Amino acid sequence: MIATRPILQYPGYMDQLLPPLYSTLSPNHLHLLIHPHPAASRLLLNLAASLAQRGPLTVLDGGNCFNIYTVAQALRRGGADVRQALGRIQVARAFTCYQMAALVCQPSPTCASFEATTPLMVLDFLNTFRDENVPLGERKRLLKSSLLALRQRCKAAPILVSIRKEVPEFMEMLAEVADGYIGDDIWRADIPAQPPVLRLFDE
Amino acid sequence: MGRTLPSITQAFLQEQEFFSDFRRALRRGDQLILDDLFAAARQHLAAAAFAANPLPFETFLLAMLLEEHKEVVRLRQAVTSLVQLDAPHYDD
Repeated sequence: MIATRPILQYPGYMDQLLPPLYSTLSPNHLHLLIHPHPAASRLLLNLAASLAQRGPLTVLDGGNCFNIYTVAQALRRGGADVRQALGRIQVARAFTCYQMAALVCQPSPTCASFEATTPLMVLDFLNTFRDENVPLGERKRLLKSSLLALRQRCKAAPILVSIRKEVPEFMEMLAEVADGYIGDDIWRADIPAQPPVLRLFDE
Repeated sequence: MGRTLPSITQAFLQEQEFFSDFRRALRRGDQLILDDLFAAARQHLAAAAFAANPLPFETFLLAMLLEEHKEVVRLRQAVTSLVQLDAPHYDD
């Protein structure tokens, strides 16, 4: 089981978590964010906006969850030139595990130098690997090669991988392959527990 | 393959949802006026989709302004015609 540290106690604090999450992104580390809570998706989009204000950014979207309108709103709130900042973001979407593996393992030759040093965000990484139409062995092979490629790429630029829904067999594999690279950099945004309902009178 | 961006109608409904608390705090009469403004913006969703603005609410605001100005022009024409009707005719 992967040891993680919680980052979310209450969804209202998500904006306050952005600066520490941003400051921890560093090269030679593969940062992993496990976030079943939908509020964390907004946090990631705000993080993408922060990164785009500072320089180029590559986003690989595995869950079709990169809403550019939310990013544009975050950029406008930050007072940035929206069009210029959006121009620095390069988005690639994968709808199958083959596409995800291809995007991670073989960056396009025209963008190879561009992508080598720019921060990379991989959103909803395991989503495409949950496709039951692809044999499990094939999915595991593709995931392993993708993780090895991510390990290679994280030497030059920080990489943040987000996972919305955990898959037990893949999580163990993630821990095995990424061992030593994502030791303390796994963040978990758990669903907060519902506060107890206060009653005026005891029954 | 799925849709990579929310449609303009979804974006419009989302923006409208953002202002639900604002709407709730308004007086009933003002709530109806606000609903009219959003209804005016809704009439131009096709144009807003074509504009492909990264901040769609800017386009919605312009659509509201467009409908308001159309109303102003219509009222101005009506007033002008009324003034012309009421003006004394010195030819007689």
